[in-house]
Amino acid sequence: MRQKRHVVIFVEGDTDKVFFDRLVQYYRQNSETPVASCEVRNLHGVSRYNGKLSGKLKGQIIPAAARKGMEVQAVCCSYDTDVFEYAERPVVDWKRVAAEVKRLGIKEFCEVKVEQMMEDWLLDDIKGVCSYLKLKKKPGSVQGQNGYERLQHLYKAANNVYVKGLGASALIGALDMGVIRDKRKETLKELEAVLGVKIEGSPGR
Amino acid sequence: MSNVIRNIRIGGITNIAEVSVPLEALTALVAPNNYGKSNVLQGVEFAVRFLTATPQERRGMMAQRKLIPINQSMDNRPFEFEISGTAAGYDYEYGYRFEWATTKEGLTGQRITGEWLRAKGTDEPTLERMQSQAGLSFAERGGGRRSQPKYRSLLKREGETEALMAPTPTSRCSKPLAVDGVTLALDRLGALDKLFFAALVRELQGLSVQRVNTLDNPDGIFSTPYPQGGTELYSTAMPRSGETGYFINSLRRLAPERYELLRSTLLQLIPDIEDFEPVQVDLSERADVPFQMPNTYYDIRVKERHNNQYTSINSVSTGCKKILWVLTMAMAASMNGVALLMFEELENSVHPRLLQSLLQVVDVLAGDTKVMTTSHSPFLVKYLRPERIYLGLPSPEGVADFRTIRPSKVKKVLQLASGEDTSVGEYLFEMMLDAEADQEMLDEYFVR
Repeated sequence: MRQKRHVVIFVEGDTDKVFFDRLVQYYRQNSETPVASCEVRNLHGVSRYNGKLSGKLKGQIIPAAARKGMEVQAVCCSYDTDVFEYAERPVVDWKRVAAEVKRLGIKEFCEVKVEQMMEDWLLDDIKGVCSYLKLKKKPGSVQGQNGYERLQHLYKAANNVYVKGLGASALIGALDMGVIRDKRKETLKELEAVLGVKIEGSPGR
Repeated sequence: MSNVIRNIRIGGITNIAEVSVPLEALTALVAPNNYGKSNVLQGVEFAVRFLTATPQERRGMMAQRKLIPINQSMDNRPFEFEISGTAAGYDYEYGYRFEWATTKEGLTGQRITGEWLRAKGTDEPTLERMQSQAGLSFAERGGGRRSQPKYRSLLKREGETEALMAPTPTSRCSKPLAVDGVTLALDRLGALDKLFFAALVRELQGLSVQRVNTLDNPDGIFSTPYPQGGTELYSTAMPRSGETGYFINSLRRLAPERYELLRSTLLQLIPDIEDFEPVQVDLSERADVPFQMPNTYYDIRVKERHNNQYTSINSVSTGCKKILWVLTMAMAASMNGVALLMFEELENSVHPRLLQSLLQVVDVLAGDTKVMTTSHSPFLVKYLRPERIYLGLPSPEGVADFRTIRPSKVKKVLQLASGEDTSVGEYLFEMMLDAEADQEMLDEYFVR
């Protein structure tokens, strides 16, 4: 019997976990075609990335999927292309990760390179961010050298502190994922393909 | 912030021969136990206190036994302190030197022997700008060469009684100033009328640093029957030990926006705390007396997610108390213009996964106040940029030798760390522990 397709998205932190959970939810609500079974796994940083990913696939995810009659057929790794001030700083060898995934018998592997960091994507819906922060109007210029600093600048204007990861859940819940997805659809193309997503002219599977 | 410091250099105290630390928003001194991390913080606090101490107090400070270096490689080494930064429209470097008290016959000690102040205006016209205004072409101005305004001496002192100052913005530093072994020339400058750099002198005299010992038992941090000193009902001055509850009460009344910021930040950091609010109970009876003794008990009450009632903050975990204390001190430092806030082991009692968030939040709440922390936790250093980490490396003489990674080696260490699937901070931490007096390797990778 042919097993049901299961996709795993690995992310490197709490913010990304919340974001991709919401994105998958958005896909399910808006895709014209059925979206594959999918789970988002948080590796909590990029230290020992390959080992953690391999261990979780072998020890937990693949057996659990098999128990439900599913097969892990695709793995997607999402990561920020830049690091914020207080991030861990190893460089992950993505070719090595891809080889490890293949070694585990998983046919498909793709990457989602978040330019420059997840906060830049959240700011794609700046109207939603300002509305969440109850800022009466969007500041003329949002200062900061990267998405984290720019988001922190907006939080400051709202007398608040943005805490990466911890503070992202409520914020992301208030954002319009359609706006962000539209702006980042090129980057998300491969992920949408492995998930079988088809939204208004997106390539789908 | 009126005095933003960029670098601190200190030496000739305890086992610190010389340590120079460029300060960024958050800098860490990382070393094994009993290495000298706390000595640096203690030394900086001591040095700044010396600036405003009375001559009598200074005499005592120069004889403080527990601070006098007794390491054999530091015999007769004078205490030296230098700070650089920006204040009152100047980029400045100020420092002083003194000899410790001595018991050896024939030697004099306990006297200030050196002092210097060099500065340049932050908006001083550069040579390049002046040439441009004079209509000189790019080539005539020397092509791509850039000129910077130079530091000039405003104060020079070599020896106990010889000090010179610059009397006007254009004159040389040559006007004698009377000083003695327990008087800083800064004291004299502060008393002069019409000094052209009086504002800078005032900033240096008002320099403030604060040390927070997160290793202290947190039980007495929040609750106090009444604050020490002062008769005002509320104050947002830097809280002393036991005054955190009083400070937060005051914050709510005097600076409600700041209070809300502190509150929302804590609730984000510790989701198990649903709510907290400062409370106060007045224990005294009102009477028509010349002085009503303040007898108000300040506390914080907390609602934890799974509890059916509010409790005193003293009932919550040590880690929660310490986090609230750290956040409060960061905010208080920012509000009070503290130039440098120093934490002893910021990571103490904090869950490793929360450290990254704590670092972010302290950075934001401290504003322009620079933060320095000691640490021996690989969990903390992995979240810091390598340039922000000062490692205590083994030294043959047994003196503290804090160094940071050479800028030219950052990329290489990043590659090596990645090869081991570890963070740069953790990798550096391991290097520090493995170094074992391999001086060649230390010199190759690290710089003072």
